Amino acid sequence: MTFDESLDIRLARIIKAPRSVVWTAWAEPEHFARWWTPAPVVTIVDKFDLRPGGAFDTTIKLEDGTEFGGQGCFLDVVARERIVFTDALREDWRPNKETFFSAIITMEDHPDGTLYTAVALHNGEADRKKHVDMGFETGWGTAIDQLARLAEELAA
Amino acid sequence: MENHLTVLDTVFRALADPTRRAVVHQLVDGGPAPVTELARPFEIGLPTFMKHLKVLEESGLVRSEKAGRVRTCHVQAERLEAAESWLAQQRSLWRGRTDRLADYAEKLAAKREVQ
Repeated sequence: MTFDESLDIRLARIIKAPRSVVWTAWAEPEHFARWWTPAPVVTIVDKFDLRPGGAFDTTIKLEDGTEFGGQGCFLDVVARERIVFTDALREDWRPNKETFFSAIITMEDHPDGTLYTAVALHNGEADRKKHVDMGFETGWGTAIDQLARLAEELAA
Repeated sequence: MENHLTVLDTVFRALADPTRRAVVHQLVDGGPAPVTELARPFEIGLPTFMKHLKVLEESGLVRSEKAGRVRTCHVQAERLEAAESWLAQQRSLWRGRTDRLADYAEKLAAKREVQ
C-alpha cells in the first residue's frame, strides 16, 4: 500500500477489548451506528452487506435535520481481521460518479486487547469536495464552531 | 508530519474550551485587543483568564505583546487556517470515530464479561 502524507491518514489505537468484540462493534450495523458519528449526529445504516461488493450505505443526520446520504461498498472483508471499503464504488462494484476515499481497517491481537488501525486514502479531488461531503460549512465563524466540535470530539 | 499533527492537536485542545473559543472569536471579529478588554465579558478572575490566554499562546493561535502597561493580543490566522485544513478535519473525524469505537468496544467487552 502506498501512503501519501499530503492526502492520507493513518491512525492506530490499542483497544482494551478482545478482537472478537471489536469486530462485533464494527461489523454489526446495530453496534456500528452507535459510534460512527458523535451525538447528536445520528448514523442511519441503510445497507450493510459485509462481503466484497456488498453495499455500505449510510445516512448521516445532523441535529437540525439535514441529511447526508452516502453509498459505498466493501472491497475486502476478512472476519476479525480486515475491512476495506470505498465510496468509489457502490453495491456490486457499480462505479460512483464522485469518489473520495478508500479506507482500510485492520484488527490485530495485542497483549492489552486489540491493535486497531484505520487508514484512509484520498484522491486529489478530495479538497474540492470536502465541505459538501462532510457537511462542513465555509466561513470564519462557522469554521471556528466546527473546529470546536472537532476539539470536543478529540477531548472526549 | 508528526510535529505538524502535534501542533494541530494543541490547537484543537485550545479551542475545546468555550472561554478560549470566545476569545478567538473576538480577536477574529474585532482585531487585536488588550488583555483587560478581552477579559471583561467573562465572569472569571483575571488570573483564571490569564491561564486561558496561556493555553491559547502555547497553541500558537494567539500571540501577545506588551507596550508599557498594556498587553495586546493578536490572533495568528495562519495557525487557525492550518487547523482548518481539510486533512486535519479528516484526521479529527477518523480519530473521533476510533475513540468512540474503542470506548464502545471496551464497554461491550466489560458487559460480556459480567454475563
